[in-house]
Amino acid sequence: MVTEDMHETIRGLYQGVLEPQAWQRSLSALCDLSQSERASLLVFDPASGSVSVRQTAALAALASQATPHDSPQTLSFNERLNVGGWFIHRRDTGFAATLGAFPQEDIAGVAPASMMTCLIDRQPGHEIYLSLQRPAGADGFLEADARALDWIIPHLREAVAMRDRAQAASTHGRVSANLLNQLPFGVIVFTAAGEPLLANAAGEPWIGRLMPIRADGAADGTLAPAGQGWRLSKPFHEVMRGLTDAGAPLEAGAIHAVSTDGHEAQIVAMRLTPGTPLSSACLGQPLLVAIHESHGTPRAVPTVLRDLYGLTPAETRLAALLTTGIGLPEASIQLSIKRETGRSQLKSIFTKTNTSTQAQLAHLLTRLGSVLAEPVR
Amino acid sequence: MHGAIRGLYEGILDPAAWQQSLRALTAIAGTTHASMMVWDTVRDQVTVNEVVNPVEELFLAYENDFQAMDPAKARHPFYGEFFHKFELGSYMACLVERQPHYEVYFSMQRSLAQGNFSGDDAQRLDWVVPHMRSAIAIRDRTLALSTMTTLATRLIERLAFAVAIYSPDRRLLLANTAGERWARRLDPLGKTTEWQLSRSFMEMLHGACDPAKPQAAMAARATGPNGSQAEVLVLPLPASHAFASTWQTPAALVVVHEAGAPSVLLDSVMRNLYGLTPAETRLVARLATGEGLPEASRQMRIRHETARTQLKAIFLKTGCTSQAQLTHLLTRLAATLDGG
Repeated sequence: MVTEDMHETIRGLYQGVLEPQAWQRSLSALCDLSQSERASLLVFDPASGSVSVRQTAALAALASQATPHDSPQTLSFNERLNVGGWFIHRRDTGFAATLGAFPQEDIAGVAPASMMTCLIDRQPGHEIYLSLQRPAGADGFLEADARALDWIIPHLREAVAMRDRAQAASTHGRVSANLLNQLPFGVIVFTAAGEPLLANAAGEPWIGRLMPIRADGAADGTLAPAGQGWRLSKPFHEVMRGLTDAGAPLEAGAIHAVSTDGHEAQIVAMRLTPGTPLSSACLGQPLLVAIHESHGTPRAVPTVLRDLYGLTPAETRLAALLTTGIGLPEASIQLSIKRETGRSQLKSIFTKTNTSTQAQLAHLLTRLGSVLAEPVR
Repeated sequence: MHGAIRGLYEGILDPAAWQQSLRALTAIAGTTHASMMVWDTVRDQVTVNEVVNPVEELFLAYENDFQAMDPAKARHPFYGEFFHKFELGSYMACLVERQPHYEVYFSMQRSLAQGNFSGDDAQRLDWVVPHMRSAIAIRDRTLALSTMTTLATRLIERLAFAVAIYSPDRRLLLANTAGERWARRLDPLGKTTEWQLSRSFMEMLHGACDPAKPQAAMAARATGPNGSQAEVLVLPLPASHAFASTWQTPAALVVVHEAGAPSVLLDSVMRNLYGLTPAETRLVARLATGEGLPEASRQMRIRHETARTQLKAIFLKTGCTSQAQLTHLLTRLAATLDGG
């Protein structure tokens, strides 16, 4: 075996921790090395006795013919394998008994003549196998074929374990990204040096408004027009300095922003969890910035108010309008309802939500609206 | 050899593994010392970060005195003089990775007794360099990923409400501290809970995760043991289509709002945003949850007239015209100020 190929295959396995494609390449390489037509990673669940194919690669010539796999239903051996142990299935050693376990028939006209399987890892909830198949007409697998691949098994075990860990971490990251996009206000996390680390969709456009960047990284230091149409009550870097001041840092900073077309936004900045440094020390103390722009009532609010307090649609409309701070007379005019109607609706809203003033109602509705961002802006 | 390779990649998630790996390499190459060095090409500074059998005095001497005169960090008679003092005979280094701002070198040193390195020695270790390069690349990406996750987790802690995200099969995927507390109350896993919901929690989860027609939003009132109230909201969290297929499944976002005192940080925000005086800030803190002016002035032991004057000033400074509007503004601003 060529040493470079071996190293390339190993590298692919570990790169597969982050890129499934690299794993595919390495499995294909294993096919070549062992003269197999197909290499698969199987996950066996001892509790349910079911087997699922985690990843499979076929020789290039076969890949075009292969139809998508059904999940094989069972995996059976004549003996219990040790971790790292091989089992060689052949027609003459009970292979027929296990043949039904795999959907071989879908490979048009090529029934495998021989198959060998290695137990890569045994965990309390699952077992992971590498399975290699040779086509009919080829020589059956021998003990020596298995020995020749022994070196890859510890690498496979390590790579699978690492991939599981990496995947858990990235799920966590993705779920939190989704959550942040759900917030009805923009959030951005900056490093102490002003580098943006993280932002949700609503926060994204504010990065440029708060931190005017050098025009396409040009070295001449020309600053892009600050604010991009938004006038800030004070420059953002001043607020940042106040928060990161080594001597007496401020607890929180805030900026009032007005756009050229009269929209307003409040920007609140604070340190993110003071006192606990990040794993990579170079980042310093990160800053959290939240941007509150005035939007209408989120569309999901009526459903929530109906569910929680049984408000009627008319009552919901009135409640939403009152939250913005206008008085009952003006709200009645805007909704084209009689003042008397407005008053009795408000009384009913107070009773149902157990509030007694418009301010309390506004507090309740604003609180409930905190995660009800519009789906698309 | 395979052990050494595995160690390099294990180092992606477990930094200690590099040490073992380098130790294995010193055995293979017949040397005493091995180290990874990062040369910051911008500041022209070398840091040594993974060392096997370090010659402490050498690194100290190097970092303190000799780095400045190190000629181009390359082969040079300088090394002869320098290393001999520390009983090191021969030195071999390989450029593993070159990035715009830094270069990573792998270096090995033999003691005087072990003789000099030859070209063959270097070639025998050629296989390890690409592995180092990919391990470093993967480690950087993983680090970036985990930094993101850490930041997001800490950001979610700052929210003024409890957040928990469930998968369709009722697994808790993510929660802030308050969310974890509520997860135990809402889905006690067989144990009894003292909290009563006006609507079945499971039903709401299913509604939000229904792939065919997810419910836009559902809500229930929760009543606690001593009559405390909270609002439970369940919303579908759309699967993000940019990501891998395994995570395309929908999820349910559970948010619980409890009545509570506004964050102390609100004071400083209001002072910053609108220049409120300390007295005005104190009043604002009371009004933030919708409390009326008479109640607030009684609690603060100020005259009603004084409170009225202060409120007028607050309205003027914030541009609000009613208490409802003010409360709306304050509640909105307080949304990320928790846990400070």
